[in-house]
Amino acid sequence: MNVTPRQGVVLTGLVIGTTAVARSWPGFLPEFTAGALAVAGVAVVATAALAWCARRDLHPATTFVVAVLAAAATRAVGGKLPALWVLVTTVVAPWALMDRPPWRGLPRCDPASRGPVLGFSLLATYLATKEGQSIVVMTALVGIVTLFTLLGAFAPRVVRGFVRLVDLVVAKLAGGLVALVMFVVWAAVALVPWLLRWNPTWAPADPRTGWVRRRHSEPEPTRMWVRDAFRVPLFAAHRVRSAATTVLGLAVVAGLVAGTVSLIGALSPDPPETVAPPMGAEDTTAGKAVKSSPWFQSLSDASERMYRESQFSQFVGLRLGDLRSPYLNIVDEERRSWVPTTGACADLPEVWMFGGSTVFGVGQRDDYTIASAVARAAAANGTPVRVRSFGVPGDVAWQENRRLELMLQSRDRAPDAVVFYDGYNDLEYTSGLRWSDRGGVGDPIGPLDRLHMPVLDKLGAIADGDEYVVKVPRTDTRNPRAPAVLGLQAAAQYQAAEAEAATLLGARGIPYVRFNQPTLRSRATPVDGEFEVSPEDRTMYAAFRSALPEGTIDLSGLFDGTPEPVYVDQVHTEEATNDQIARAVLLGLAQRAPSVMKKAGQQQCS
Amino acid sequence: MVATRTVILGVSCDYHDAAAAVVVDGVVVAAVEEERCSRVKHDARLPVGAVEACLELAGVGADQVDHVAFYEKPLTVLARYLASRQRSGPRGARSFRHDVPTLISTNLMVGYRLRRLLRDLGAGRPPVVEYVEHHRSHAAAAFFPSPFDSAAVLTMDGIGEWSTATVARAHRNRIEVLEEMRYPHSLGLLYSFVTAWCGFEPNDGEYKLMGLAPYGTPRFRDALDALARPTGAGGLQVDARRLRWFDPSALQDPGLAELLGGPPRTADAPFGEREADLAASAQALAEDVMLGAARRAFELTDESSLCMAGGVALNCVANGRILREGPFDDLWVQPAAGDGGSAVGAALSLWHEGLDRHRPLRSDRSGPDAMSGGYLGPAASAADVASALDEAGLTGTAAVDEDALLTTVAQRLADGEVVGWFQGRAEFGPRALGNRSILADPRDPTLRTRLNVRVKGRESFRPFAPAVMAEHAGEWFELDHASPYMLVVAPVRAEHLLPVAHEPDDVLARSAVPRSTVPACTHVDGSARVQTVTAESNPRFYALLARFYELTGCPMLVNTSFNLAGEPIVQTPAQAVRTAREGGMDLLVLGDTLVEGDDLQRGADDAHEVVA
Ligand SMILES: [Fe+2]
Repeated sequence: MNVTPRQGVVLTGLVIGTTAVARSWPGFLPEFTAGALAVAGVAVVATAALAWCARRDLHPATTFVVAVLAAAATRAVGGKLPALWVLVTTVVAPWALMDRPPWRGLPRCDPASRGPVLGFSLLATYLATKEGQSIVVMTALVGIVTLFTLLGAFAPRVVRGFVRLVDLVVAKLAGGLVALVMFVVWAAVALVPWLLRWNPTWAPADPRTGWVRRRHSEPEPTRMWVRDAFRVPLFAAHRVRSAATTVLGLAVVAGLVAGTVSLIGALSPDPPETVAPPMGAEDTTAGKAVKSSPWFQSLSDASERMYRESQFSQFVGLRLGDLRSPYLNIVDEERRSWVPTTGACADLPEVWMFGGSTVFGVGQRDDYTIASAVARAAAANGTPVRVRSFGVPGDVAWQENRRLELMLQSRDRAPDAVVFYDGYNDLEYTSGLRWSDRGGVGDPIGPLDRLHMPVLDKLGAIADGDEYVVKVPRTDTRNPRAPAVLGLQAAAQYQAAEAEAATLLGARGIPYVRFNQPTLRSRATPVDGEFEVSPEDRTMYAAFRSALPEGTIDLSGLFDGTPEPVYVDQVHTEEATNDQIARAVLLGLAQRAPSVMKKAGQQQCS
Repeated sequence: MVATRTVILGVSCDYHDAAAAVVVDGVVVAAVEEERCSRVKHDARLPVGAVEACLELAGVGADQVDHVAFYEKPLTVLARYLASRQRSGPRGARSFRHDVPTLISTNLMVGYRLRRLLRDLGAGRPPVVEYVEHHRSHAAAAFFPSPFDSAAVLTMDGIGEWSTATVARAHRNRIEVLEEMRYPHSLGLLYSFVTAWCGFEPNDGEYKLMGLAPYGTPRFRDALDALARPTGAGGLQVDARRLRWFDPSALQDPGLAELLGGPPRTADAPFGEREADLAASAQALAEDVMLGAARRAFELTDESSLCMAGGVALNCVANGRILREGPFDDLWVQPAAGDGGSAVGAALSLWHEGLDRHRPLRSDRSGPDAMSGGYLGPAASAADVASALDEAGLTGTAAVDEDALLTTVAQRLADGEVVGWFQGRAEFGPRALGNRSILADPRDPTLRTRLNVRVKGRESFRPFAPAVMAEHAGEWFELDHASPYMLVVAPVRAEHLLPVAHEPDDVLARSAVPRSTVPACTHVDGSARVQTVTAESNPRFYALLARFYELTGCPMLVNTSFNLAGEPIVQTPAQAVRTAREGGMDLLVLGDTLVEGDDLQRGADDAHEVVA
């Protein structure tokens, strides 16, 4: 391979460009596009500059100038590692990839070193895209590339020997792979028909003469095949048989592949995950009602998309991405909710709601979530407020605090009041120790990881257990603690989070209310059409409830007067129930944050 | 406006003999086999040298090629290959793994490879490659250059896409394929199989099998019939479970060994009675099938003339029988009947059938055909000859004039000398027809062994062919048709045969017994593979025959191809000098230049001295 200076420059640009583009891949989409464009721009400019230098046959030192400039530009848009990379590739790569030395007096680099230089460059490029990649590895790779360039210049024999060795190994591996693929193809096209005793070469010859009549005799020179090669006057039975054989052959091969895959799965050391109890069951009356709603499918598809496209943040856990759909819309991590439309109110007071999936509104449309219901109830009261919903499925109290911090930092306007509506997840995550082999008190993330195992695995692979405790060593032992102890432990965590919230909001003078949400466990008497609650759960809940943080408004008994089924599962309810919850929330808000209600009542809406 | 010419490049490659041909406005102007350029016998690779040579001969650049015609349909070949592997089941695994990647990367990519070749030769935008069915290429090569306006066409070979033989009716510029024989029922593959069983190289040694046949008796005929039963109408029912084509392990089959009188002969083992009998049986079966197929073709078409092509059509013994015993009045066989000739066929099919171009009437069927006597290859100029001699350290003697040249050569031939004869354009096809030939006196009874063993280094049982002045052919051979391409075998007339007092048992001893007054070119059964020469087809060669006739009263010469065993026929003067030197020829004639055998040998010694 003889690379002209021009090609060398293009190759260099490619390496730089790939680094840059790949580096920005894990980011959000807009971030990715902007980053890729910016670094690609740098690459193009650097490439053009190098090409210009090459064409003018300028002093090779100009390469260094270009390299430094390109590196500086990359530092600004892509970070330290890509910048280092750009610097080295623009200096070293031209030496290895071009037919000329980078400096007068230096020997030309042997073409054999181009392969290793490109190979290790691409490897380093790939590693550079990994979050948290250590600078040691990157620097080592850059060193290897430099080494190969120098060896290519001063000791080409070593490089050639290395390349020969790699060629040999790669050829053996590739040969084996080809053989494997060929075997599968062969099994499909040859072995199976043979086993089925099907003769694909049979043709309907006249038994008297031995000749086959031709139906078509057109030359058709534009075709690579003979039209009637497979369409000689075949009997229908033969045709059916040949089709059946083909289908059967493919099916057998598919079966073989599937069998092998599942065999590998069965032999792999990981035991199957412990299955969590159902969240959205079909058996409850309310669950059936929700699922039979005409909008349910659309909403369910959208939430699936939401989970897929959400990001995992070590700071707060799940971060919802922007989403557009008929019934589920998320902008800047806030779920859309109902806003009073009674004229153009100049400055509606804002109430921010935090909580888990109940506040988010699992199985509920944007305009019928608890937040929407609160806003509607307030407007009906003549005290219109804007309720912003920051509920995220799975959130516990300390996560809500983190999310609150985030929002306070990123939003222009501070809230006039904050509502925490939680309690279920806070208890559930501790009690979850009874059926899950991870999570719990010592685990800052908790059962959330069930939703995000892929993310967590990736994190775990990078951090290798040093920075994050994401995996508690697997044991088969259940949590030996008594339910009452678990309930008290959960309450202790809940209290700690409450204390943190008090400090956080107290410092800013923002009033807030915390509600202990009603759940199936808090129902006084069982109701037909809902799940049953075990005695252990009741004991645990009673303990949790007995130690609620001071000032918490306890809504445990909210539905005790409702004999109809309410709960879809352990905690979620139908949209219609939200009005009742909203009235309770509004009442609590009026007690604890009278200033907001006052401000709302004074609204001058035109 | 100047009418532009349409240039079609025909190509065949990737199976047997690769070749290229250029057809300009329907006229075959050049055709070259790749082996002549690459010097690898039966070279099947992409015919780079041949394409280059053809374009040069036609005087067109690569960018002037309007169409490229390939001689078969690669996708169907692949499909047939896969289907045939299905037949062999697990046994085919190894060959499947070995062949399929090649088939995909080579055969399926042939269009791309041809276009890249043209691009390498300077074409900016080469045309898209077009594909003509394998047996249609054969049929087109058989009919379009023939001297007939309409004819029955019979093509037979080892294997095309699916067809192994076809019968077609050809009229003006159309060929209508009526019936075909399909894989695995193939006479060509059967003949090659027996060739391999007798220890010859398949796809090359079929001539040897045919030459060996008259020494034997067809005692294995029943055994062969059990493996491949002729239907009587030219059909063949092959027992594909026992005769596993393309499966090398078939040669180790003990069941077959029992049927065929023992395991296959190894290449270095001596010939025995068994091989001769096997050859005789296969030949008898081939003749029956071919005669039957000719009759079937007559039945289906009701034409009076027959055209033939395909590797099997090179079986000139069977061709002779078709001519004498078959229902047709006239027979024309494509001289390059094998896959090499399909390069011509594909190009002609594209011109006449693909582009629907008129084919001129050939009302006088005895007129010349459109193969230009087979002289379609490159010629050597006087300068080429001079530089070749120069390089070899030789100085030839330029003849004063044509007359002197012919007189000298004829006299030297009459004196029993072996002459290397290199003239004009090279022949296309497997036979030397008087331009790249080794010539000798056929009356010399020792010549056959001398020439076979010393000059050509081949088996001594094989007979040589006579090139005879056309008007005297009837006096010597039972032949009332022209045979310009040496593709018909005819018996020597009784008056020239000699009585044989004692018939030895041994094959080699029998081959040494003179059978006629022209023993060098008379086979053990008293037949000869005749080439008839006319003054129109090859003036100088004809004149030489005439001069020899004047001197000796014998109107023919032994004409064998100018090559050593295992090598392709020579193409350039330099190759001729080397071959003449190594073959120990007495005289080498390069155009108008004569080189003495002694000089050749001395030149060789000098060369050795220089090296030493
Ligand atoms: Fe063929």
